[in-house]
Amino acid sequence: MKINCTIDNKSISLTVNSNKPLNLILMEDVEAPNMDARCRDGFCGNCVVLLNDEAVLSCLIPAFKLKGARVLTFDGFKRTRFWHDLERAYEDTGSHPCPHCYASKTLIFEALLQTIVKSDEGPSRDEEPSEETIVEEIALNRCPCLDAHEMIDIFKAAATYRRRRRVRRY
Amino acid sequence: MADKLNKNLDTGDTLYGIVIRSTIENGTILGITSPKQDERFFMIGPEDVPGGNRVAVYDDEFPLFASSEISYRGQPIVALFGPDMETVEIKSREIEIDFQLATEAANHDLKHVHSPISYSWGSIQEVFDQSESSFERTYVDRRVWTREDTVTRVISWLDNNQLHIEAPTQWPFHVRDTVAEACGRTKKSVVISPSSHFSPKDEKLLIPSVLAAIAGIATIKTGQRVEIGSRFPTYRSPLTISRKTALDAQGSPIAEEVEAVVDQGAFPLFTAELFKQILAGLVPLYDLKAFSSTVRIVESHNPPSHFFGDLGYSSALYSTEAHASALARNKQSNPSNWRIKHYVDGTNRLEVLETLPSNKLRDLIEETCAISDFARHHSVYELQRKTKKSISTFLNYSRGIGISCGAGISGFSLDSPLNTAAKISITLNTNNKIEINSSFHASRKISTLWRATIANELSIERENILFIEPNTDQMVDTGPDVLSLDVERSVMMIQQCCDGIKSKRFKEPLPITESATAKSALSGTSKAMFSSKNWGCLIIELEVNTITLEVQVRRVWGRFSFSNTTEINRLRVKFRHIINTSLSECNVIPIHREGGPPLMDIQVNTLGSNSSPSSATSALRAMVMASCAAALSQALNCDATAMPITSEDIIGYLRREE
Repeated sequence: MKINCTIDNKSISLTVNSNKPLNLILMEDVEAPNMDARCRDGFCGNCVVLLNDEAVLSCLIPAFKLKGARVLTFDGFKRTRFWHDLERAYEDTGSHPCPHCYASKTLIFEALLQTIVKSDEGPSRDEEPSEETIVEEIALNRCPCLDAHEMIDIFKAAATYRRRRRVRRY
Repeated sequence: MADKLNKNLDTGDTLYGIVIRSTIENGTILGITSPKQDERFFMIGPEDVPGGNRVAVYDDEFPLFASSEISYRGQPIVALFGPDMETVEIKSREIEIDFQLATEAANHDLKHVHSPISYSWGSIQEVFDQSESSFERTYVDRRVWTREDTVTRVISWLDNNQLHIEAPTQWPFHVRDTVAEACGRTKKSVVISPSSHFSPKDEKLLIPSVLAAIAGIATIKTGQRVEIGSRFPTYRSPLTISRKTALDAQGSPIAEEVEAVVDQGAFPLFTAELFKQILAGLVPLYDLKAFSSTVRIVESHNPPSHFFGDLGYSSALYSTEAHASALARNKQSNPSNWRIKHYVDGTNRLEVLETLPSNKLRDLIEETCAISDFARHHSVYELQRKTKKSISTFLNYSRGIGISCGAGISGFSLDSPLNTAAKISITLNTNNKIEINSSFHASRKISTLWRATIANELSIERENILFIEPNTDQMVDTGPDVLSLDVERSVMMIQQCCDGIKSKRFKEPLPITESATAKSALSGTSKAMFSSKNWGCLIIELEVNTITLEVQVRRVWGRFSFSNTTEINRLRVKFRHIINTSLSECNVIPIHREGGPPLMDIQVNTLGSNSSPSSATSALRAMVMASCAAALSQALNCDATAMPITSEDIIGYLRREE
């Protein structure tokens, strides 16, 4: 199956089996260096990527869903300026995810931060995710290294930096 | 360099491999049906190993591939290689292995029991005979497997007749020796490039060696670049510890008899060190006239077990601290006051574990109790426990609070043979830059501590402190990177190298190279098997939901004193990680109450001494388990002695209450 999509802001044409999971595509066909999760059943949550700005488990995304999609991996995200918002939030709060889940939790935080940017664009500015939503969203990754308070503190600190940027999109 | 080499290679003809493992724990292989003929795939089994079909670990060894007998579930039988990972996995389904299960009697006979190892002081029988009463409990640490999502990927390729291996390993030289032995090559012709990894449970200690040997054989057979992956989890020895304490007329402990039984799986490894680590945890902080401990090691058809973040110290310390809380409860006294009264600088335990003075620990206990309001919480929950029906679905929770403390140890025991080979070398180059030569990976947190030590000792900018090219051609063998990165031992080695350079600097021409072994760095430091340079005290308040049977943590308070540490904030963050993951291992869930106080209140302080810091990681794991056990015992009015807690346990306790 031939698929045209954007991975880390690069237009790519892939020829893969239609049901090949995205994490294997990233590891074998694109060679994303930080993608090293092969549980293939959504168990660990260490293979999170942003698919059209939404945090998803790449092991559960078959190739055919990538047609025309925008995929952002942690390596791609690190090359954007938005990465620094989260980097500074980790430093400010003194809490950061463990090396196991660093990439995945960071991308989930980023997906949550993008909802703020989007809500800031629209008529209502009160669409900041609730504490419950933050905890639920981060639960996509199963690593227990951060507690709920730490996650909320990180998100709030990052949201402050993101708002200061007053930017819309990538 | 490894990355550069890999990137330069054409990955188009890479072969991908997977390991086919045993699905039974004990039996015989009757036959293996290969997949349908397809020239794109090939299999490797024990008969294809050009060298020895074994993985040697010092004096012990275990087979690389199972020849005909299966010794444990998950034992490698064959490896299948093909053009891509997906098709290899599909093709592997065509492989059929016929097993004959071992009979029940044979199964039982195969289990070996090693002669027990003992340590004691005083006349245990005499003191027990004089005692007023005795108190007995059995503690079980049931934490067994690591997470199964941890993938270990190893890549091998040939370059100028040298076999190159890139692997995420905690022990590059073990990988090299194993590959050289399995492939029948000289050690010099095998070059290992360690890649970055995160292995809090020592997942990358021996599995990379097994995978590297298999990948190496495939590379030699085909001449192609080979990548092999496996996510078989690391196994840990379950520990059962029975403690029997003799009490005097006031209910104070006067003697203790301890027996620990460790299941080391099919092939026991690091047994001598395991015994010493367990013993260090078993010796209590209260003063005893007589003490006796026996460690029994049994073999079973479980996977070979070795390091698991520590080597049994946390399980042993858990039993010691949980037992101290149980003794306090037996005497109907507040466990914090009981500890303050009974924890002293015992002279007898100095042979095993040298700690900071116990008055520092008493201060720490008082401080932690004050900030957590421990006395009030404890008495309220005691009242609740003593009510006629302490657990009801009307008030759908039952609460408890537990305290524990302990001293963290790091590194191997003083006389361990693992210390002899471990080496670190430092070179002061002509450009005034320092080059560290060690097989420990440069990306690990330990490198921050090393840089700080060197910068402080030699007055060199941290940016000018570099690590040597990461491959076994250049590096010196620092031994296995285990036991909390061996903080104390490695820092002492760095310190010794710095002292050597300082004495030659400005007198001899550059470059100056100084080396130190762990044995030389540790000689004359202490007579005890282990020395600890820290104390910790942890209090956990939790509640059991009597409807959902979940155990939820309400608050955690921790205070830690270190003899010397430069990275207090890093330590605080690390401790939070360890507490969170240890709670998860105990099946205890941290709850989030919107607008409530933060879950954890952790503080680390330094005592400002000049001695090298030691790690508190394994002690902290033990403290989490012991505090949870004590709090659960209060919440459920029972003796919660097995960790992690399961819903069956909770149902059992509730039914007994009814």
